[in-house]
Amino acid sequence: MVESYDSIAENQELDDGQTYLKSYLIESNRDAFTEGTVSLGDQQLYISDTQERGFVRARAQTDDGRIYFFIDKLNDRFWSIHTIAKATVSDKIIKRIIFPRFTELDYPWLSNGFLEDVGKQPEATFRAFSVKFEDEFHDIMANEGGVEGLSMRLWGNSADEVLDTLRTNENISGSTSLSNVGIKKEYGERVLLSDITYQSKFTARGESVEGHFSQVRDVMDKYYNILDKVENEYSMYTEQRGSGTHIDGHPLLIDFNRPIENLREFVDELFSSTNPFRLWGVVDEMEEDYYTIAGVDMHTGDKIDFEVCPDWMRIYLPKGSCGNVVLRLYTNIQHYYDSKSTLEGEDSEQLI
Amino acid sequence: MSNLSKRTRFINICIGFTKSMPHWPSFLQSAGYDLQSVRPLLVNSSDREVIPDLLFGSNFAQNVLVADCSGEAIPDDVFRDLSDISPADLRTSIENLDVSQLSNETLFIGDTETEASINSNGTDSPAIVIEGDRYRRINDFDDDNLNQNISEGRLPGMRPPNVYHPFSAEDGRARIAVFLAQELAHLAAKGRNREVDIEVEDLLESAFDSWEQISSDEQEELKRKAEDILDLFEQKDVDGHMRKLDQRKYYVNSSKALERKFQEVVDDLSSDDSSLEDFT
Repeated sequence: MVESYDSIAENQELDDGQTYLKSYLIESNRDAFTEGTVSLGDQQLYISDTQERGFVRARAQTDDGRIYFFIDKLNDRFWSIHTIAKATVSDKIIKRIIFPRFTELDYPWLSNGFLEDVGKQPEATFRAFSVKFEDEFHDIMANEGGVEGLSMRLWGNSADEVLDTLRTNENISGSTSLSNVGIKKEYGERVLLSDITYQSKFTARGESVEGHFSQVRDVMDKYYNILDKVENEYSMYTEQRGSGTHIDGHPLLIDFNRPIENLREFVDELFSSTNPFRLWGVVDEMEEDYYTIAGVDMHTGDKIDFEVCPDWMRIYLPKGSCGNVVLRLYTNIQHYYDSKSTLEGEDSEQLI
Repeated sequence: MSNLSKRTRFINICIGFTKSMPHWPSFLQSAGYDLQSVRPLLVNSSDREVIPDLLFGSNFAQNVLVADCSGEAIPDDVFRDLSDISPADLRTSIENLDVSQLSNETLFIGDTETEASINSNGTDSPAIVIEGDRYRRINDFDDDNLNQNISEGRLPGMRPPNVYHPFSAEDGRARIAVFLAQELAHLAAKGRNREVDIEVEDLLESAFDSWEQISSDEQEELKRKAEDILDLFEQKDVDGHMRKLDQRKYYVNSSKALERKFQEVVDDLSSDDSSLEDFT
């Protein structure tokens, strides 16, 4: 298996019929499954129980035939969906499950900083990374001379060094969004090679299945800590106090390293319900280059408000709204507009 | 350009002063004050009902600021009603403060119109006067911590927060429409089969946290504006995503087409210069 990892790393191809174990970590606001046919987004799945509680088998019919998943309900907020189907097929099904309106399912979106930390964790060897950036707002921004898109992959033990070098290049440093990292980690005498994408897809090659599951849980735990902070320390809430209203909570901030030109067009595009942002909102112009957006998260139907100017965006997440919207927005801003943007909380604390 | 009334604008500006929020100063927080209450209904020591805009409290100074954010010319009876508020009148609207030890003072926040009223009335209550991106204090606070933290200066970029208290009865229809559209889209998304039947009053209560606290006159004003806005939404929709069921009840289902129409109505109202004057 280790050899075949090196082979795929170098040749970008698998032997005929060869597939690897893939696990998709999913953020969920839905209840548990019951047996039978269920519709998730635009995908129908036939669910059957297993002997293990919280672990169900799912069958999907595709143009390429039937494929099978195992859905592991890790806790109230996260599922892990495992499969050995071809990545092109399983990726498509996961998208059909997640992206329609109000599915209450989403990827955990791993920002640049988060994914870099995964790659550079001390117990592992950072052996590969991919960078993918697409300036979705290029036409709006009149981005003459700027980077419109950047896609590259590097293998080898100098991944760490090369990534740092890219980040210091003035012309491309704002377009260096990590789309996946490859790590090698030993579990006892067993070796595991993993690719982890910014949409929390884990592909395992090697000898330790338990190590693979452990990595999924580790990422989930770290992500959950950030999500919990967003939802509990930075959400806005109101309560009746005597005859008045008490308001508590703090907004979050996305600080842009690249100032937004043509802000109204940028805002209209961002809040047009399109994937991957999944945000809709009504725009109110406060003054020149300053807008309020009363928004709705199209993954849950929850409300969320924004104030946007060319240099930053304040985010007001109401208590009870799903905080994954913040991490989705931030990560996709990094992939489609400005990879050097930062997510900040109270007193400019960087959340990730 | 802005659809906000002066009151809504200054209320949000002041709430921002109590938060450690990015790109906005936290004068009041630095002086030890937090937000206690928005638009509380009080009965003052002269047995008159009064609704100040904001209450801020300092546990350290055991002091409450009773803030008026109208930003307009202030009538003399408002000065009198505010100055007749005693600590005991604040009892139910504050927390973590000892009423038996408490002092209170009135604070005005506004622009030069507010300043002119203060000068004309002759009150020695402090005020924060905001002109463009500059602010200055007139008169002194009883709590010297506040005098040290608030004197004069520039507000960064003048990009104040404005969604803590998103709208009030005094705002233009365009502003109110923004948040009613959001609420309708939210409620429809959360409704069974992605649809909802909603009464105007229930919609306002859901979209406006201070609904229960405001006066019946303000409630009526908001209802009148909301009905007008909802009729505009319904007229704009041609695909049956929104229907008027009776005088004050509407059916809405979740659709991209309707969401686009909401923005069109807001844009139409924003470009209608008469919206504020017609309906206030």
